[in-house]
Amino acid sequence: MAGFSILSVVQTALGRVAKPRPLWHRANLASSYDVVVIGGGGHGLTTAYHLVKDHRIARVAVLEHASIGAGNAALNAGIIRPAALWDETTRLYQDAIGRWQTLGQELACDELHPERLFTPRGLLTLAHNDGDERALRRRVYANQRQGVEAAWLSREEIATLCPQLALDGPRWPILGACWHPHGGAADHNALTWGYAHHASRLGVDLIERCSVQAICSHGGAVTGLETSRGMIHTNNVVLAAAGGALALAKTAGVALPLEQKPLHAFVTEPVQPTLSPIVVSPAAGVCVIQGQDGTLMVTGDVGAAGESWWSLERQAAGVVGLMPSLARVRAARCWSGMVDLSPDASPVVGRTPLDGLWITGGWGANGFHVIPAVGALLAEQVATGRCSDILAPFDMARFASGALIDERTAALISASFDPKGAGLYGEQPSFAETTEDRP
Amino acid sequence: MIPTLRPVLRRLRQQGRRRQSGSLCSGSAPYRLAQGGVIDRERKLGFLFNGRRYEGHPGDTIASALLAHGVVVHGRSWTFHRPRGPLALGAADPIVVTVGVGPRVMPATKASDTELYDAMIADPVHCWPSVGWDWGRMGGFLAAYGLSITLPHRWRQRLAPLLRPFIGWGEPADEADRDRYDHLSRWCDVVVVGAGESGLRAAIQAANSGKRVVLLEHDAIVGGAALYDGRLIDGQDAAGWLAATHAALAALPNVTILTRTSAVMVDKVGVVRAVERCTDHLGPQIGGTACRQRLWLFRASSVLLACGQQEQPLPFIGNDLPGVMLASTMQALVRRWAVLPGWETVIATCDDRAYQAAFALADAVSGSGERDSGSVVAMVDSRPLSAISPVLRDGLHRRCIPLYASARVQSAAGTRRLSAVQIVPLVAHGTKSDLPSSGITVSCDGLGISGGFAPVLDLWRMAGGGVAWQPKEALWQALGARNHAVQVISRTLGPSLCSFGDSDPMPLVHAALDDVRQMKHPLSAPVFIDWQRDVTLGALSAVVHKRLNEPAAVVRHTALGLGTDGGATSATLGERVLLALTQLQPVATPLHDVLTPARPVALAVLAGDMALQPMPRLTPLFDWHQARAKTMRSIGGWLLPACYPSPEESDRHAIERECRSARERATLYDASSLGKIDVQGPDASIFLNRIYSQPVDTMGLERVRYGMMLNEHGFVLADGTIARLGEHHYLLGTTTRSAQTVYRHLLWCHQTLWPKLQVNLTDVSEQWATLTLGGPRARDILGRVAPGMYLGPKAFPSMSLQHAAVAGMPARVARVSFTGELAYEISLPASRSLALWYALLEAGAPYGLTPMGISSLEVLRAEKGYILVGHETDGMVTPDDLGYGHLVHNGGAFVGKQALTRPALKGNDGVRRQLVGVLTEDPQVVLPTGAQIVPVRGASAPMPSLGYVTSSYYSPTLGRSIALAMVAGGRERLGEAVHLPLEEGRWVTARLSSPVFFDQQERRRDG
Repeated sequence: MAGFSILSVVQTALGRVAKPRPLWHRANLASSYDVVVIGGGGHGLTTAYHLVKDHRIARVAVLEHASIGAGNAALNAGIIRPAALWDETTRLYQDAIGRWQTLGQELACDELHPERLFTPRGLLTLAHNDGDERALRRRVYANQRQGVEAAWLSREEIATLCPQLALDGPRWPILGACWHPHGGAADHNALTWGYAHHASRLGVDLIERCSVQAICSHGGAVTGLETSRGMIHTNNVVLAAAGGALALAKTAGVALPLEQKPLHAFVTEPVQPTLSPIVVSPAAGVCVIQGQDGTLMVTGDVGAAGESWWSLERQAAGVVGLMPSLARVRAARCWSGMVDLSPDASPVVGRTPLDGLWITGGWGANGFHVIPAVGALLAEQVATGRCSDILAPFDMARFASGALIDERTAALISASFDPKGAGLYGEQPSFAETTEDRP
Repeated sequence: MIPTLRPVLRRLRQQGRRRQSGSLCSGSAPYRLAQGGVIDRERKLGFLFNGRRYEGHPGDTIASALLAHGVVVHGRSWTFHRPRGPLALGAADPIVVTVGVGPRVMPATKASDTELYDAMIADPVHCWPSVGWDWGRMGGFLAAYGLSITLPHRWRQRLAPLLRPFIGWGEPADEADRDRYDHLSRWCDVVVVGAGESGLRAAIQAANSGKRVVLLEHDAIVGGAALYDGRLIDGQDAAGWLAATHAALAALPNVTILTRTSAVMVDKVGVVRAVERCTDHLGPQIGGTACRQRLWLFRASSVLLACGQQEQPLPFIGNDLPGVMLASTMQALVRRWAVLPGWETVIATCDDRAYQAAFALADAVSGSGERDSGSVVAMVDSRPLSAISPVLRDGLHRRCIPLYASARVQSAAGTRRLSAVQIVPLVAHGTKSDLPSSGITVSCDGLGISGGFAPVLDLWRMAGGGVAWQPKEALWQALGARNHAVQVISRTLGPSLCSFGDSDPMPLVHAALDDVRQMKHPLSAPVFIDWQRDVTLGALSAVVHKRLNEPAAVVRHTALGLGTDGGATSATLGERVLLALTQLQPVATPLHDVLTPARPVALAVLAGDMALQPMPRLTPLFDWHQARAKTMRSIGGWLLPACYPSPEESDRHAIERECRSARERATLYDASSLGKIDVQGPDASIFLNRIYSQPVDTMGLERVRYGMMLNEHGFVLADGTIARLGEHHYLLGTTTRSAQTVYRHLLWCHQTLWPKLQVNLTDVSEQWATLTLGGPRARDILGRVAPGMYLGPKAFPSMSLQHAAVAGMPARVARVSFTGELAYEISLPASRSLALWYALLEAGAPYGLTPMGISSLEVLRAEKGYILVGHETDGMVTPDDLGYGHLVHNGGAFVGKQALTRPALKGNDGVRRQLVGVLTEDPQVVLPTGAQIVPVRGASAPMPSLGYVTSSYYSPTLGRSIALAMVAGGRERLGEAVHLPLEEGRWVTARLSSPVFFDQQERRRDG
């Protein structure tokens, strides 16, 4: 199904497609592995796939407590961001963008039409106030210097590009916007199923409905895992379990500098195509994208307070305020996912203080589009011990050295979000003496 | 391509409509029964559907009025563009249409859930040029299915205008909605959801015990299934009982009945959110002030769910043909709307209740006398004869309806309407049917199907209620009847209302599966599970083959049950099919998570007036500013005047004039937006010592200090003034932008780090107005309005404050400057600020006092190299980076102290970015803020970065452009040339300088 031909279109249209084949084998859990990946989402599957494909690690397993690709991989909007603010992050994003271009061919299978995987749509980030404008203009200049196509759009240019936007809305008037023409959207299901298919073909054991209860260690190194299906011996564990990683690492005595935060989203009923670019408004706290089926998917900002219904109302207000012509479109369903954030809103990838325990986490709302890059680079690090230049800045050690990469202005993170709990990572002891109160 | 195509497309569309209209009888309503129904036959409502005029009556829905005219094709399906007619009633129906035009268009509205109003314009969706002639179907649904998915991107983009009509349910408006929406909240004792028989009984019961009751009904009238299923209530006719009960309830003062109101969200603690459709049934309210829809929020001590049951469809080949509908739909059409669903009808069932539908149809026709032969031509029951009650058999016999027991409908035939069904024996129970094994063909134009009734559990599940799978009836039932405040009441009212115990749908599902397996192309067999998203039996079996049969994966793969009907008719059938395919009984959770909201809700209702209300914070002098400033800037949530240009002046000239006045004469600035946080308590000094990078308890009374607070990573969080008003009383001043951040930071530190410290933190930003009088003549002016004050440099030095009467009003005057000039910040209660403003302007007139806006202030502070948090800082800047290293000298612990010792923060190795000034070679070039600084001119991207411009202005005082920048190792590089790449390959060269461009000795400020 990799190719495209008139015949294939006719056959698809008539429903005369080949008899479906299982996407992956139902593997049996062995008692020991070279590497065990915890989490059957995008990051976990990709890492496992590259461990086998690039580095010929023989026995690799992916343990998933629910079903493959059903966690944040399924809940996210599939937005591809080409750049952030700092060079370190942009380098990672650009590496991922490069891989997306050829990923369709690499992962082609029954479930994954290469042409469907990645659609460039353009990413429009709106500035509604002084501070946003300054931050976004800086981002445009930084991206141009980094070699990423980006532009600052005037109000007139915005009106041409996206006529639905109310430039002089009462609540969120638009001053200008940052435009990334190479931003886009990808099919998240196709991605996870594609990786699962190919990983399984290469011999990775995909184990669904198997939850890990504890990471066992001895002498500062990982020795195995306690799971709901029994003990597994392994010396290398990759934690790709998003929010779940925190509690798991704790079982091995590792404190991760991460904090779990809810991320709310909703979709509307499908309507005819009306919104071409992806519209992001940090001030209104929404990101709006119209899917191929016509549904408008709206995600909120990470860490915004409040229960899910309140977020639904607030995000709906954001959409109506920005695009009043969509006022009568109806919200069909809303949901929430838990994402993990580090104090500087940049990811935590690589080694942990425990030998043999690897982490990819802290992705917040920006984890999806880097999946192809991070999986490959992390697999390289796990297999060879060498950390690539791209991943090196995101090592957990940066919280001890102070070399943070603060992307809070670039990521869509609620203004009210201030990751305090995780922020005190490494600093807690110094306050022990001062928390004693006045004499 | 698009503009040239448009007229052609329009003409084709019109032709399509004409062609279809030719095939229909017009004017009369041949399927309308002569009597009966809950409609007002006296009045007629004309409406347009698909460009053609029809008539209905008040009480009709779009679907019932169209069916009365014999129009069965109401829309096209999602993927295959098959013609579709109504299947179910109300919001459960999969068919959607577009109602209205222009800004009042309602895309994706249910045809059988929309009340008719006069002059309504409704259009089918998802088809082109018309619902009768749909290219999506004709030219192969290639366009819709094949092309949109498998086409290479460049083709897809070119074909996008052609594909447009085939994507999505209807077109959103292209201009802003003009209707009003509001939110209302109410406390009550009991909320009853659903005004059917059980709902009404529960409401009466609760109301009689004196409780405040709210009764919510989605429909326009109360009654639910009792309106049409022919039941007797308390021995009397249902219609009579409903009318009497409704009247009795309406008369009670403690009961509110809200019809046309759908509960969309229920929480187990007793929170119910519901959407009331206030004016939708009246048509567009042009110029009206009534709100169109309202979002209710009820907080009740008890929520009673009486949502009733939903009949489920059956799988067989061609089960989506127009004319095939649920038996209960047929019953409702006949009894409620007096519409005959077909001249010759077959009923196929595995359940007792469908017999009532057959009786209703037969009685309606014989009663109306329109035709002498019975209209129900066959009753097909999958159960053996022995399992069918003699009472029902007798009922069929009396009405001359032939019964085929142990039989099923194998396939339905027809093109745009059902024309015949194939009835074959079902060999599931080991009993023999009278039918030949090849079956018989019965011609008919209506087919009522019933796969049993499943309880509607959306809201129950949303409230956290458990569900249990019933293996025999193959459906989910509520587990228990109560979860905290929420209670399911439908089933407590006796077996007559929840008799799903006699249905037996699984043999029919297995039989359909066998049929499909024997076909040549099983995947394309038209056996539909989800009518709206076109999920077929073949698609579900493919999913199972692919090992994507985890419930979540099935839903994601097929979108089963994710349509606008919320899976009302598809989720249960989907589970039955999966059960048949995998032989795995569903364990604990239904196929898909419960959808919130339970019914789609327009974004405008959710938003209420949140999206429309501008919410800036305004200073007490806002009106004065607005009358004089051309540009208002939105800063930190406040709307502040940029500057005050005279009518012939531009903003730029005004800024220059105000800046010159600030340096030469005097200016008055409204600084009321600055944050002010009052800190009091016996531990105030200890608390602030731990917050600021230098101790505050060394300050004398009535002294002011400039301080910095850091975050946990050692980076600057905010800067500002600390004024000591008393031994245990401080007032912190913050910038406009960082007031919220600082207040939250302080609260967090107090509440989580040192909860035992006795400190009170109060944000008094809006209680106090602050007017800043600055400039070389400020002392003279202040002397005139505050004659009692000692203003000499010794008596009132820089960084101190006095309480004094200014213009006769008690005020607090602080000698603090953000412009580098002599300046007084005069704070007084906000309500008096306008009087002081005028008094100062008047007193200052002889000295050339000029009011000044925030843009001018920013230029003045940049000339002095004063930082502005958010401009010069970005969350990665230490005090030392800014040249404020001397402010970090706190012997005790403070937030961020330890982090400052981290290697990356200490670095004197030329890596850390430091605050410097940037002077362009051409003094007239003003750099853009955010511009990047690189070491080599003319390089191509990607380039390594030295730093970036944080603030940039034209300085009238210096007569040239100035900029502040953060540059790697900047303080070591003063005097060096750097380069800045700008848009379109333009380069600017500049030299690094000290960030203080003017009066480096601070003589003017401190003099």
